[in-house]
Amino acid sequence: MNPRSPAFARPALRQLDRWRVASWPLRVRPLTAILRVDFGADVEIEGRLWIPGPGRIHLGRGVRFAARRAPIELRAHEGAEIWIDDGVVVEAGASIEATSRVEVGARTSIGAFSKIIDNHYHHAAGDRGERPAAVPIFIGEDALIGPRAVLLPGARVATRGVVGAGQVLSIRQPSIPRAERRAGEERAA
Amino acid sequence: LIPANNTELRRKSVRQILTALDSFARARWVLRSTKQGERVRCYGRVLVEGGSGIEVASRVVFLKGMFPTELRCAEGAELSIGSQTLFNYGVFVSAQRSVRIGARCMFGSLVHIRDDDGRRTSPVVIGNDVWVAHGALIEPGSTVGDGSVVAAGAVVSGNVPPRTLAIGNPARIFPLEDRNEAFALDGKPSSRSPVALAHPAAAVPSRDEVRSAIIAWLDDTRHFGEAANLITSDAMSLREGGLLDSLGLVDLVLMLEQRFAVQIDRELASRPGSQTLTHFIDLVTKPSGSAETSR
Repeated sequence: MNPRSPAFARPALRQLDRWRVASWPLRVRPLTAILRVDFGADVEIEGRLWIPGPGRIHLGRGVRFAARRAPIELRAHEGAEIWIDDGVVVEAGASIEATSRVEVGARTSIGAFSKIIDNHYHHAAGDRGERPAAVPIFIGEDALIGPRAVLLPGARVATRGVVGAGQVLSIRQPSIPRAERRAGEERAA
Repeated sequence: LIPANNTELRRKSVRQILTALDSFARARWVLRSTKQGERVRCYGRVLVEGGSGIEVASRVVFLKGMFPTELRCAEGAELSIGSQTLFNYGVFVSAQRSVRIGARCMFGSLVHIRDDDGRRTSPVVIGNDVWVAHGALIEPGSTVGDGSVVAAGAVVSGNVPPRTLAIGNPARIFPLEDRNEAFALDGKPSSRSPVALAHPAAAVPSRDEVRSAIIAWLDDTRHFGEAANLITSDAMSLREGGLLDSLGLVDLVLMLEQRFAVQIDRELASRPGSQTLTHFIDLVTKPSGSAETSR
């Protein structure tokens, strides 16, 4: 890897696999990444977190990255912002990419190998070289994003909303999952 | 070319030139066992297995990312990649017999293409100008026509005609939204006009019937009892109002066709900005041709 462009957060020592960041020490990251990311207290990184873009990233208190199996990517493009609220858990292989804004509510869990992306980058038909407008993505509090889910531009997940494993979402997702609603209806009947 | 006082831009372009040179050199090295064309670029890691059967045409690009791209080709098999095709990171292409990829294609991250699933081996052919989006799977025996789009997370096993959108698991086929000449190229102009199938005039469903069917379907599959509140008026676009995504549109059209035994013109149904309740009701209730004028 080119040591100049990507900023890798990785335990200084291999045996130090679990790594708790109470106050963010200077020695663990290149200075450029510290300028772009504001970390809350107790951000926990297991494994490798990759922050390649020039945009701003906010990590709330107690955010946890469980990246032991595969790296986690947070890519904020020029002028974009990724806002991750307190207590969010991000699983291995997840990737969040913002060209405008991606917001993840408090205590939400983001499943392994899921992708959250607020731009299609290409038009399906017509000029593929032209980049379409971004649509910000908002995920509510206590939501669950399943493993391998894909959130596309325009996706909105309500508070306590559930995105199933492997689901591709580009519209709003309601708070009550279908199974729960069915169960509620059956109880009422 | 760059003003001497613009040091920022100078530094940037020098960096770009260096990265480009680096990518050419890297491509020469990682694809050394393959037959590669001119100016192939490789920004990230690419794993190659069985390079003797792999053919990479000129100006193919492999991007950098979280995972390496892997090209795998069995003994005696062929894997060919057309010129100017672009691979995002983590693409997996495996050829046990034959995988052919056309020119100017785009492959999103974590796309999986294979011609052997352990039970059958059947060649995969991908045309020119195809866009395969993030996380899609292309199964053995698939063919993807020129200019088609395979949506994110789709699982394709079969034939995708030219200039169509394959979406969902298993993939359903739909025309691309902005179709200027699609379908005309497909040679199937008959699909342009909505034709009533086994649908005598007396049995035309009432508008209310269709309306409630659409809302019940939205409730059941998408919005769980909130659909009626979310639709502010019949003239509101379900797509732009965020109530219906492209996969939802495909499923809605299929549901209406099955429920009311009509054939709905895919092109009229997927026209951008026209996906209102009124429009869908028109498509089901009005006979051929009049749906468009009544918008």
